[in-house]
Amino acid sequence: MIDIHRAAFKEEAYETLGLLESALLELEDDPGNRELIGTVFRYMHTIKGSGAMFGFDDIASFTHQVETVFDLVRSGQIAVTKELINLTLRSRDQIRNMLDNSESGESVDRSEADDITNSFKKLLPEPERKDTLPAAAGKVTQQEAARSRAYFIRFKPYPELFISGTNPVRLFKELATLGNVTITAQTTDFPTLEEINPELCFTSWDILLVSSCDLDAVKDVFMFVEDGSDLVIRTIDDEEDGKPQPNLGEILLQRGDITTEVFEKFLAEKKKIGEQLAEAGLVPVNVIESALAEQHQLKQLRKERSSAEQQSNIRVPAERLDHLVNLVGEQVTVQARLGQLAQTLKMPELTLIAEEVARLTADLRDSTLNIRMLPIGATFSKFRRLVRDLSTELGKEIEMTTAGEETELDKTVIEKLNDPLVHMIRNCCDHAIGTPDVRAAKGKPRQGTIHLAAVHSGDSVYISITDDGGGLNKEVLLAKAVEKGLVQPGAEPTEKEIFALIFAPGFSTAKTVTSVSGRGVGMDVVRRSIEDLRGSVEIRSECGRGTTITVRIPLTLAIIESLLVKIGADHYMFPLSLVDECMFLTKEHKERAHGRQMVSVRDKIIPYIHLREMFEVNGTPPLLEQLVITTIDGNRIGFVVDNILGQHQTVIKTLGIAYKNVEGVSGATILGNGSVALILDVPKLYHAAEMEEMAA
Amino acid sequence: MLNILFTQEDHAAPSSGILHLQGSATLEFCTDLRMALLDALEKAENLMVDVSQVTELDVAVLQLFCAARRSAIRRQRNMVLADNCSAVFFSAVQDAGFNRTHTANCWLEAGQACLWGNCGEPTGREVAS
Repeated sequence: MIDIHRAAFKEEAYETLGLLESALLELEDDPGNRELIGTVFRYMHTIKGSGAMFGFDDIASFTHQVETVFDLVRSGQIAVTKELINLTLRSRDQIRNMLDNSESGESVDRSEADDITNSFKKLLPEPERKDTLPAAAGKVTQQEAARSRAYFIRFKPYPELFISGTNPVRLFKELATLGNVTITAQTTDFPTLEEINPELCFTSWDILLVSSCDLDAVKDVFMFVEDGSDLVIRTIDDEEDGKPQPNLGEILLQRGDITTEVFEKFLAEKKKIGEQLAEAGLVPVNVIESALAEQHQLKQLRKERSSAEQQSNIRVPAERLDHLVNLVGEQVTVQARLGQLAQTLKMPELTLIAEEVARLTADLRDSTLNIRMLPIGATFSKFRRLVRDLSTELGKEIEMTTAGEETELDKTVIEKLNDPLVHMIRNCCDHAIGTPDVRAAKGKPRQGTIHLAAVHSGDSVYISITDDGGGLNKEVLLAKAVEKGLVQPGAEPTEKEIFALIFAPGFSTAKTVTSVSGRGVGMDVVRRSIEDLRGSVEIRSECGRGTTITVRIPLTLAIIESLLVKIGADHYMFPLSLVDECMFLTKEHKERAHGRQMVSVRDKIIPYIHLREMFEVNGTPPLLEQLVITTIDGNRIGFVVDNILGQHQTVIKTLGIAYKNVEGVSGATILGNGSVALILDVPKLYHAAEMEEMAA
Repeated sequence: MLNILFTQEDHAAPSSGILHLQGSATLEFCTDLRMALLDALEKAENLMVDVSQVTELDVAVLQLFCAARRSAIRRQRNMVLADNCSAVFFSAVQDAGFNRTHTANCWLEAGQACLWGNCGEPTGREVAS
């Protein structure tokens, strides 16, 4: 059970670290934002608190140091500077490393942690620079007492508190770090020994806390047990609205006029605090009533919200989802067979059932694939950090803007997209955007911009990276390509073809090689990984104005719409997203072309590839062949097949290791009749044919 | 591990017994402890629980002691904690706020002593330091 909790903690901690990073980067842009400072503090606090609870002591103690600094930031004693953000980001990475290594048991480099801690110390105001960082909010000191407040906390945990691995005493100890606490256990609800389930929690607590920290800090302590528990936290002075002595009880306590017992007894007799105050003539009755009503409302609201949250989210391991997707895939195949059978047998009852199954299967497929969809925003915010670090490293000023963070993509696709995007953004930072001085000399703002946008269209998502840098210089590219022998001298490639050259292996125009990029390995890898996702890349650029790289990615990897065709006795699939149109290839068409593989469609010449010849299929082609016209890298290319059978919903199966290196085929699927159809890798077929032609 | 041992004086009237606890009195062993307490209450009219050998104590067990005390009163029997409580026990009681329970929150009647010695008459030993 403990392991499950530890795993859950880790998962949540990784998430929190991600959020922390975004918050820090936002804070850097808006250093005065108190709300953000509070958010950062709370994230640190979350990691520290839950870390300690699940036995990640090193993480807890390290995070505690950072939290302490942010507590001072929160109280305005330290200003938010670039240095502070840098250090905090480093701390965040350190915590991440500690988390990564927590399972393997390897110890993390302590020197980095010590270095961070020492650097933090230098940021502290003079009197705070002691050997160790001060406690987040230690015992109430004389100065602090002046602005400290008294909190009344009623905590009635949910019955399964112990079973969930929470020890309430740890919470109280954490509270004790905030100030002076007085804890009273409420034993009213205890059953007898005969009735008690010893694993459930029947105790509730009334706690009095005198502390200088704010309400949020108190609430944070209960963050993990709040759901399902009855928790009331209120400042006692709030109830004494407008009175000259707002901290009456606390002041009396501080002076020693009353003992803690008396004060706390005064509180513990519920209903009574307001009533007694009213009786003593301290507060009018209606003020108390309204305060109580407000409290009731808040409690109700929180209850509703927490139950809504409980309903809206559930954590499921990814492999279970993968399994579900696989099952649905099988189901789609079986459903196709059922449909075919119903058609052959022509039994009305069976047809009815088959149609019903088809409808349900389609719904099931859509909802299952939807579960795997994640917004791309999390990936985008990672890139903010990347751009920030790179611009510091390269001495540039680069701002990253984003749009369409809510665009959803399949989880696997997002993961595989990460590396190519990182590479392209690195390139943007390194090559495209110049140093501030260079930019200023060209009449551009000193700060460069990289805009990352995602948009959903049809069955694809388009992700574009736009920079306002130097743009691609066609002449330089072409000259380099000729030099490398990628283009014949004297050839006149189109703009698109020239831009596509940067994806060629070993192509780099950068004069210097930096640690960031410029080695010419990369852009070809980028293109290959995107093609592996059945996507494509396109470049638009204006010299001196900037470049936009657009990546098109299909929504999901598991199921595609495809066009089913036949060559000889075999079936093949074209991904439907690539197909523009279909037409008959008549004898006249062929004669008009004089033996070349070209066809004129609406006065445009389209080259075609004869798949029967390419695949060396025996037998004679039918008299009337068909032409599938596709668009690849902006070029229209035809593929000649024997017969077009129609649209088909295809569950993609991998071919297995033996066929991994077969070019031109990206996978296979099982048809309704149980036979196998190959899914054509259309861009690869085109490139292969191109290479062959160039060789000839 | 929690070792539970019940010893009883022969032929004493009223019957009395001591439940010795040794080790970790925590959630894990609550079910066993509950059974042992029920059994002991059955056998002894005057039950004393000896927690001096307890090395660890959590809220679940404190609750259980309270519940046992209530059952004892229901059955018109007596249940007390032995005088020789360890520092571990005291701090556990204190940390969980059980040294501050109130008569107002407890259904004990006047004259019936709270197990923790906070309200009514003390049971003969001071829990709160």
